[in-house]
Amino acid sequence: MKNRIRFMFAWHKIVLNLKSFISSILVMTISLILIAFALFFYHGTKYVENQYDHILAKGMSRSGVVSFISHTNRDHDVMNELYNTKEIESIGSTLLGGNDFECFSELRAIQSGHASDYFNSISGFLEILWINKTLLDFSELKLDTGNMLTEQEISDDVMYMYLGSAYKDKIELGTTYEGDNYKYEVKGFLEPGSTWIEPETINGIHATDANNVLDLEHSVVVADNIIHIGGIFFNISDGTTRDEAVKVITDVADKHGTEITVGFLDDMYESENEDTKLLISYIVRIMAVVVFSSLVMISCLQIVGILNGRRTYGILYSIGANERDIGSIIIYENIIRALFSFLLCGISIMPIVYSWYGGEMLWSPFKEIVLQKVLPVVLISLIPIVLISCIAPLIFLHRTTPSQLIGGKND
Amino acid sequence: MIKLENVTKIYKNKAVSTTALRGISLSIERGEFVSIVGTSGCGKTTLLNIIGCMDILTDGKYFYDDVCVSDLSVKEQHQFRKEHIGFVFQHFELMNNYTVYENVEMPLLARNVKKSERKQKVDSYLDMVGILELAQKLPSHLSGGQQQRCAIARALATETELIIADEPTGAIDSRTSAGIMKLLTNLNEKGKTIIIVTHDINIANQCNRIIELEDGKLVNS
Repeated sequence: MKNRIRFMFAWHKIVLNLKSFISSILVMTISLILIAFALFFYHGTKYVENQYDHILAKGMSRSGVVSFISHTNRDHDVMNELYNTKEIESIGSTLLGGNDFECFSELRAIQSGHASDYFNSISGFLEILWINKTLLDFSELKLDTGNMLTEQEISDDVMYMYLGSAYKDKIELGTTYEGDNYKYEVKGFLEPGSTWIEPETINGIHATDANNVLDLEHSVVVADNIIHIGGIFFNISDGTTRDEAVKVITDVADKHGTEITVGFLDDMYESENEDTKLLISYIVRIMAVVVFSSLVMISCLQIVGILNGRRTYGILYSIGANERDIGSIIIYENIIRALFSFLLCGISIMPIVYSWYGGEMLWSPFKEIVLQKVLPVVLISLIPIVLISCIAPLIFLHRTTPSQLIGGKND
Repeated sequence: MIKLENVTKIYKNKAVSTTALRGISLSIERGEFVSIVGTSGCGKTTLLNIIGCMDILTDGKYFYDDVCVSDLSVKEQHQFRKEHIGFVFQHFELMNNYTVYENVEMPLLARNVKKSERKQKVDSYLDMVGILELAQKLPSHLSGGQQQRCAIARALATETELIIADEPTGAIDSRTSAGIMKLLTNLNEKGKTIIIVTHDINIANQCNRIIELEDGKLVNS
């Protein structure tokens, strides 16, 4: 019997037993959704971890945050002193803010629609990523054109701008803009694909929040000399241990009478990740129970289906079908069931994933987590599910003679 | 053509074992039209199922030409059945969700016959049994006699030399039965070997040979 014919029989069997098919699909879909979510949380946290390690010049374990418990006018002194200690390689603060200077209108025109939701919603504002100039090494920003600011170039009158790759062919290098108190000069253009740490990270890392990296394609980065609210990022020089770095920082803060806390990004991440790990462990346990029970249920439904339709199988044997034909029909039926469940699972997880990210699911993490990691594994997991759910009916059929299937009275 | 040597069939349940056939030995030659008769429970259908490879014997030997069918594996028996045997059942056993045409087409699908060839063959078999005009109807819309004709057309579509019919007239009235028997006789005259099971002696008498069973034993062949 050709596969097309076997498939046709399987399809007809499904259509004729639609209620049983739908109920088994729903059970299987729940199993798949749980598998998908366990994977989603697992890969979501991995994605966040990888993102941080990718954008941070020294990785999460050697990058940290200094938070000022109370802001004093000595914060700047603390930062400058730490900048000059050999144990600290780069230190500074970063902030996503806006500016409505008229001089920025041409930059705003290019950025329009590509800023954060907040600045997109306010007309006339240019979203600016302020980076304290000593922090430029924190994430190894690479320039496509122009020069990275040197210490000697720091000026109180000029603020230097680095523009995302979207501005490259539209704005000339060295262009200046006259603001109220400062002159702004375009110092360079960032390489395409440049990213920067989300400034809000200073307040804590969300282990499953995939939107913690800023894509700088349409960003305007301004190197300033101000400590922004919240705290400062730092990373440790090579050869310095974390404990040594913490001691240096606390000593300097004590010296200036400033109260601070020091934390490393990997610790912040791990602490936040604990909840996610707990969540994953619960999901995996529930998943194991649901997958097992759905396999049992599907196998039972299959056997009931075969018992109900055993005459059909008997007839098929009598007209020349063999065990392979009948087995294939059962396997096709399970494959169709699995694919429908997969489709339903895919459709179901989209809105949940979207709302998990607060309605701001970006294409890149969606592609990398859901499309490249979660759904393929869910699809592969269907193979053992299909095989296991076929075992019981196939064994039953193998042990039953065609005459028993037809149900003759054996008189 | 068919040779059974000391065939025994025992059905075993957990508590009970029932001997359906007790040392049956018989031969059926190519082109014969044979009826198997006996009282209810004497083992007629069991014997037919064993000859048709729909069931496996417990002991003894079953030869079909030079092939020892009882020694074939399950897979080989499926292939053997496909190549040699067509079935007609008492309750027709048609697939009610498929049309008459599709029911007759099924054995040809199982044999990977090309579509154009299938059409030609199905039409000829339906014509042969006299229900060509009912091709697009569902079996449930047909009378018992028409359904049995459809089942016979399906058995013909297996294109095998042996047709086995289990109580082919058991579910139809006597007038229709005569038509079905006439059809089977015609097929026999065209070269098909036909074995039927019946409890109706009048039907059995229309065959060339009667094999009589009693309590699983052969009493007359």
